[in-house]
Formats: sequence, C-alpha cells, structure tokens
Amino acid sequence: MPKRSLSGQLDQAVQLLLSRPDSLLPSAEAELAPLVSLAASLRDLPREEFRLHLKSELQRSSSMATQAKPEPVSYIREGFHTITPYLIVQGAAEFSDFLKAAFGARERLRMPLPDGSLMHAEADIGGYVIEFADASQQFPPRPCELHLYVSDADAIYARAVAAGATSIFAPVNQDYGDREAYVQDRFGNHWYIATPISWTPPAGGPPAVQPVFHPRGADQFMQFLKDAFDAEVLGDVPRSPEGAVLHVTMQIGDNTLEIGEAHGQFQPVPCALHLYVPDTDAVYQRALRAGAASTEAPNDKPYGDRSAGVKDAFGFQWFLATHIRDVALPLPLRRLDFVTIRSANLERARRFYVDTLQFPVLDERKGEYFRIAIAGVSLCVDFDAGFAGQQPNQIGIAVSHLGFTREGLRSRGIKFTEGRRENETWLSVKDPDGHEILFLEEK
Amino acid sequence: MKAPKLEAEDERQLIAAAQRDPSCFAELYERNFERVYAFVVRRVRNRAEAEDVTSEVFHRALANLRRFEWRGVPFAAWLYRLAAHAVADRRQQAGRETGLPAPADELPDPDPVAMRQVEERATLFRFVNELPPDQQRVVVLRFVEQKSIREIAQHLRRSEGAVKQLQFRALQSLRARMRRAHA
Repeated sequence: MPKRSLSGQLDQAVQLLLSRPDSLLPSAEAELAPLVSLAASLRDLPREEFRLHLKSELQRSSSMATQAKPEPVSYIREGFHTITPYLIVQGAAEFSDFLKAAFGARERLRMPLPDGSLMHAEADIGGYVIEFADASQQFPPRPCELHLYVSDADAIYARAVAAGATSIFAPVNQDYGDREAYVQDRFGNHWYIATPISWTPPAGGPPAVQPVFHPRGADQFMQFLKDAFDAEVLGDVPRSPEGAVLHVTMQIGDNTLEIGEAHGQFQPVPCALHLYVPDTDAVYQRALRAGAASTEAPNDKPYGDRSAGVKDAFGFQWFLATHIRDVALPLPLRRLDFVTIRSANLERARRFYVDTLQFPVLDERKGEYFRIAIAGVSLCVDFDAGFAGQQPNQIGIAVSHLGFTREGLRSRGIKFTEGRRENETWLSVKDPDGHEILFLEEK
Repeated sequence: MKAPKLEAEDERQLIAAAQRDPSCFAELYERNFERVYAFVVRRVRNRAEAEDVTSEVFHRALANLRRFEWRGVPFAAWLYRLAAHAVADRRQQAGRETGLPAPADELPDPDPVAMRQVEERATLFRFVNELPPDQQRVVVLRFVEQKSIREIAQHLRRSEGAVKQLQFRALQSLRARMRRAHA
C-alpha cells in the first residue's frame, strides 16, 4: 500500500480533530506533530466577520460617547456663592495673615507676581470665599464692609483685635437680636462680628460672610440692584423718621447683602464685588441700562469664566462672571530650561560631550556638574558616583541631515547603530555612562 | 517626537488618548482583540458564547476606560481581568439557571503557563492574517467554517490535492512564524 503524502497525513489528523473536538491530539509522525498541535489551536480561530462587526459596534459606542454632551458646569465656580467680596488692599500677603489670625480663614489660592505682590488670592471663612489682591496703579485700594456671623462674637472680636484690628465698638447685645462688635483692620476694611442671640437663623445657619453697603441714596441703590441683578428685599424695611432706610437685607442668587443709608460714622466704602450670574452678557446690558458704567466688556477669561465689569452710580465696582468651563490653572511656562542626566565619571563624560561631540559648555563646577547647549536646549551632566547605567536616559536630537550626521560621527570615531520604524530613521549613540543619544532626521 | 523602542510608553499614550477621546479606542481593540478572544474561547462552551463574552469585555473596557490607571502593568492584564470576571458572571448565571453551584475557579487566572498559552494562541491568530490569501482562505474555511476538503475544493475551484497542499503549507508557514516569534 503506497504511503500517504505528508499533506494527506496531516489532513487525516485535522479531520480527526475537527470531527472529535474533545479527543486528545491524534498521533502523527514526529515531523507533523507540531503542525497538528497548531491545527488544534486553529479550531479556536475567531471569525473575521465577528472581529470587524465588534470593531464597528465599539466605534459607534465610542463616537456616541465622544458626542455626548459634557456634564453641565454650574455658572458659579466651585466653592463660590453668588456674591464674593473682592478686597483690593495694600499688602495683600499681610492681609492674608490677618484673615488667618483674626477669623481662622484658610487661604485657598495665591497667585504672586515676580515682585512678591499678590495678583490674586482667595481665602475661605466659614465656607464663604473672600477674594483679594494687592492694589496697583490700575486697581487702587477698594476696601469693603463685611458682616461675619460667627459662633462666638466675643472670642473672634478678641482675636481680631489681637491680630491688629482697631475696635470701633466692643461686643454689645443689639436690639435686633445679635451680639455684635465692630472693628476696622489696618487695610481699611470694616468688619461686623456677630452671633445671633435672640432670633433663629435659617436652616444651615446665617451666612458666614455678608457684604454691607452704606450708599448715599439707599432707595435708589436698592432699585438698581433690583433692575440690574434681580435682587429681592427680604422682610421689612425699617426707616428713620425722615424716611431714610435704616437697614434692609436683599437677596441675589444664593447670597444676601445688607444696606443702610450712609450716616454718621457709616459712610460709603467703595467696595468691589464678584457676582456670578447665569448670563454675564445679559446682566451686563441690564446693569448698563440701570445706570452703571462699563469698566470691561464681556470676554472669556483663561480660568474658565466669562467676565465683565461695571461701576454703579454709587461708586461700587461689580465684576460680573459666568463660569463656563472647569479648567486647570495654566502654568506660566517660558521654555524648557535644562534637563539633567547622571554620570559616574564626569571627566570621561565631559571628554565625550565637549571634546568629541563639541557641544559648547554653558557653565560647570569641577567634580559636580557641567552644562552644555544642544541646539538651544541645555543639558546638565551631574556627578553621581553610584550611577552604573541603571535606567539610562534617552536624548533625542533632531538633525537636518542623517547622512551628514553619520559621517560626522564616523569622523569623530564614535560608534553608532542605525534604526528604522515606519518612516522614521535614526542613529543611536551610547555615551560613556550608557545614556542613549538618538539623532533623528527632521524632514 | 515619538521615542523609538518604548512600547510601554506607546501603550500608555494610546490609553491616555482613548481616555480623552473614546474614538481612539479602536487602536487598543486592534492590539488586543486576539488576546481576549484566545483567553475567553477556552473557558466557554462554544464559539457563540466566546463571541458574546469577548464583545462584553470590550464594551466594558470602553465604558470603564476612564477608571483605568496606568501603573506600568500592560493594558492586556486589565482586559484579562475583565474577561475572567465576564466568564465567571456567565457561569454564575448558568449555575442559577441550572440550579448547579457556579464553579469558583475562574478569578483571576494566576497560572503563568496558561497565560503563556493564551498569548501564543493570540499570536497564532494574528499570523493567520499574514498568510498569503489562498492559504488564509483555506485555513478559515477549514477551521472556522469547518468545511471538508471536498467542499473547499469546490468552493475554490481547486483540486482536493491542491487544497490539502495549501493547508499543509499554511500550517508549515505558521509554524515557522511562531518559531521565529519565540526565538
């Protein structure tokens, strides 16, 4: 009987595999055994139609995920309320220390300028944010009058005075139900420090920080707040026998503010306020119609707010804002200054980089480091006696011509290898410490 | 500029891109499809179930991609874990339906030998796509569609002997590629 061909014998084994999937591998000649074993694995080969179908299904799902609208962001930046006092002071860093010492404030953001002054800072007092900055030519000081509700007015008053505030009056029980003190800090701000004693604050407690206004013409100011910002009067409006507003609380968004006609020691303090609104452009127009003057037309800010500025007829500055997207604060980058690699033998590394490769030295300290310039970027080679090539660095250098580079390396007696992937070609050189330098051609 | 030879870095960047933009997930799928399928197919009863579970694994991976944290462990290891869970879920479900207790041996697969076999099979599946078209066609018809030599011969208008030769050469070529891959 003639012997079957190898392909015939193989097919016989394959046939057995396919007809009895659970059986052991059929025996085959030694030459065929590895092929039979592969054939057994191929029974599990996936269907190409399935692979393509699943791919297009996933692409549909992922494109739906891509097109899905991002989570809507609140028009109020996280951590803020509708109204945030913006205090512009001389000596913002010291002011921050005062807030911490007097009121237990927590600084949540500080953006210093190169001269050490603060361009912007934020502190949290009892869950309410206060913004502040150093005064400048563009932004002269704008102090504020603020009403703080605290759990122990006497204790906080003592802390504020100890922190340098001047007492205007010590804690007293007022007939409107607060135990209240009044101080002025050395930055020009006025602080009412109060604890409710004979009235029940709303659920969640009274607002920790509330701005107070003493305008000349409180009625007109209230009307402006209604027209421009939809402010609402809360409760009664007690008036003096002459008809002047003694005290009123108004609500804008989730905040309240207090107003009383200017009189005696309570004179207008030209404060600035940051007001979050659902639509900056619309509110800006309404504020102008209500008699305010524009200080800045609406525009998008890099920190994710759309913002505008108006100054009302009573001298108060309003920074209108709508938070439109959450962004990470940008880093004020200029350029990559240097990167550092380690060398166990600085002299040897210097011979390689400076004498052989001829990179210019920018500066050096014998036995510690040397810094060279590679096409405008500086590379620092640092001495590290313990470095033995573990986790070597890779330094990529773009060159205009790989052929010239090859010849240049050869003429310097430097050994290199060549590599290629897709349409990228490079020359690879190892420095004496094992770091790899890749010369890549830039088309 | 992409630094050559840094495969892990490449994968990390791919994952980060897909986390930002899910439409980049396709590349991760292409790189890992055979692995997941090879892992699943030996743990379920039949091809239909293998396709269902593989599909489930990739859909879960896409949905949970944002939760994947790059810690230097290959992306495939995460997919294998998802696959082990999907297989275990299936078994539990089947156990409830049949009233039998679910076997508890599928989570996760710690056996390095078994995982090496999965990787080898995945490599083999990828190599099939690199075969010359006529050899590839024979392999698919024979092993996926399980057609007889006669049926394939009729389908391809070739002699039965020629089809057996193509099958033989295809397996030889796959064997050579596998040896090179593991050299």
